[in-house]
Amino acid sequence: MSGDDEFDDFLARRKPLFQRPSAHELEPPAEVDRLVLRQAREAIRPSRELHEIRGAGWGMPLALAATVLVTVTIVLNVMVPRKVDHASDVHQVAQRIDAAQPNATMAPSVAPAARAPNNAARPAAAPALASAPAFAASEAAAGRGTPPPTESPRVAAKAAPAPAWRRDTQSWLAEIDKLRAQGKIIEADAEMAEYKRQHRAYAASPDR
Amino acid sequence: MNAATFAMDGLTTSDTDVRFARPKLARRVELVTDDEDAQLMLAYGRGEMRAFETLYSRHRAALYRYLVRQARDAEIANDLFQEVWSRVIVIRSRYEPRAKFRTFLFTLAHNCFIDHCRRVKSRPAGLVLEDADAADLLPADDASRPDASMERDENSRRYRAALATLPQEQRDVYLLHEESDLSLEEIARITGVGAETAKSRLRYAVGKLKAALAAMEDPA
Repeated sequence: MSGDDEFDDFLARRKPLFQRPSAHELEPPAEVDRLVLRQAREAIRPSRELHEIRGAGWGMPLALAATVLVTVTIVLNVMVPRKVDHASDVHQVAQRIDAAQPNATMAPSVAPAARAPNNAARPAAAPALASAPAFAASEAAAGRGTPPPTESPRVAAKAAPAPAWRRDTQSWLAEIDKLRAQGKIIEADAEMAEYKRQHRAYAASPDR
Repeated sequence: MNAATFAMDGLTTSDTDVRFARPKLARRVELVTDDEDAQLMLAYGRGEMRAFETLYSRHRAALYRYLVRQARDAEIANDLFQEVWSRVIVIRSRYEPRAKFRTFLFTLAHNCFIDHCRRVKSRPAGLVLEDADAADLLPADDASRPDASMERDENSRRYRAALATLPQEQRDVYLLHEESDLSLEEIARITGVGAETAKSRLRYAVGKLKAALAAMEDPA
């Protein structure tokens, strides 16, 4: 057999040209095996964990955002009192009343305490004190013959003559109910706001 | 591990010291879909540890023998062995079976060894394995058959000594042929030479080994 044929046999792995050690002579140490397998295992562990988190990745922020939104909404609705612009409502009602009664005489301002003697919890003369300076200024201006000083709408509203129904608590509440029955919700609300402003105990009572 | 970029159809490193021929990157091959090992590697890339265990058990011994006989030092071989598998692990997610997995694995091993040689630059080709190194490579003696163990040890020693006389390029081609069970074309691709060059190196290597072993058996 020529050398070429021998080499071809060798290449085709049909015949060994010489004796060589057993193929199982050398094996990697067990410690090396352990290290390699551990490295391989640790390499895929983070990706698997990331994959698991990625599956619910959109759900968790959404749940948190929804929770925060609901919580804030509840807190705002429960804890923060709603602001009602009583003054503007009262002013509007006062203007309408003035328009309806152009020739009405300026009735002296009656203290709520005097108008509603039955209301024991009402603050004594606070509304009267509030409207007294405006009225005094108006009187003084008339006496001097000069036009009264320009008043703010709020002061003007307070200086406006009080309607007759406001003199009595029952009449006032009846008037409010009447306005509501007529569909004048804004006027009714304004009257109620003014009523509550003058009757703090009524506004603060637990059933209101 | 140095900063190296890998591709399935060849590996390259940033080193410029061309002691050994490098694989070419330009050639592209179609994906190998019938290689079971490649499928296992893809499965491991998807996170299946069992696939890696199967892959590892199939190739660990051959790869280790290749590295031990290339490095001629058990400690170095252990380090290179771990480095090769580390590269396999790192590459898993971008692995594409453009060649048989065995080709890919031995390409990594080949380049790891070349990188090692470049790092140390102190091991001349053809250095004969010293007895102390050879003893480190041997498995534990078989106490039940001391005569067989001695004969096996003697054969191993002669084989390694003959192997160590080969020039690096010839030993590289020979070990790839013996341990990786790859074809000449695949070996040529791994070593970055033409198929005829690889065949010529292998022919020289086999001839020298045969002569060296014959001389050792019959010194007269």
